[in-house]
Amino acid sequence: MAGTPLGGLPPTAPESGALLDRKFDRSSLAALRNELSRYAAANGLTDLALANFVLAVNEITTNAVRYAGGQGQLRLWRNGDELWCQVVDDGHGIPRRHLEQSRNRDPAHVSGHGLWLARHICAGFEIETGRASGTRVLLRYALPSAARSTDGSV
Amino acid sequence: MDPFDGGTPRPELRFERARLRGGVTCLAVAGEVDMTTGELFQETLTHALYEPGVTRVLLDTAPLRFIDSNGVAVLIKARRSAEEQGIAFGIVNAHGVVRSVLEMLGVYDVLAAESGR
Repeated sequence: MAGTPLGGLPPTAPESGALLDRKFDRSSLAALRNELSRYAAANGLTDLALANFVLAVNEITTNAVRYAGGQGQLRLWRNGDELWCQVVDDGHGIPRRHLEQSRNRDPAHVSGHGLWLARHICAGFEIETGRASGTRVLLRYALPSAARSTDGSV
Repeated sequence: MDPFDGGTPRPELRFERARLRGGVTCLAVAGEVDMTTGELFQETLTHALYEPGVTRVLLDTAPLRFIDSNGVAVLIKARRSAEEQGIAFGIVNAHGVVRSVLEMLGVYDVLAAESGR
């Protein structure tokens, strides 16, 4: 990723610092949820906080599979008191109206709430998307204070 | 049930259906609703709503481990479809992550089965 202009997004995790680094497609979405859940639990997330994190990430990976060529890459790492999760795809980007719905959703719409949900759940939600460059989403999720001394290995 | 089957975890969705008196169907759903099982989820709900003689469908989500926003959209569609046919449709036993996602999306009150009806 070095050298890629990434606007205001923080740098990607160093290769060696990632807890989890996985390519995914439709067939591995469920396995990825299980794996993500294990690593997030090892970093101190429990119960609903754990489930919501997995839900948020799943919305982003699902978008990559559904709308961006069927695959993507997920990277999870720990940054201080937060878990950071980056999902990258090389699709044709997210249309502007869908980005708008991620901030101001219309509850009357039956579907299209995945981005909004991820943004709602996470402490930080940053997205960079373009027709030529694909999409990169960075989710930041706060760890409970009691878990901040754990080393997070599985 | 262990989702690790032969080393490859895959999402699964299972239903248990009971016909009660008065045209009431109780459908218990177990497993995970994601993009790979959403279609089966939708088909099963539609099937239950179109069965002859049905007056009410209760979806028991107690055994459901996961549902994504697309799965919630399926529930909203089922609710609308039921309304159009004059059938009552509602969810019972939405706990934990299932209830949480319904509440976050602001549809829990709309989807929860009214008790005593």
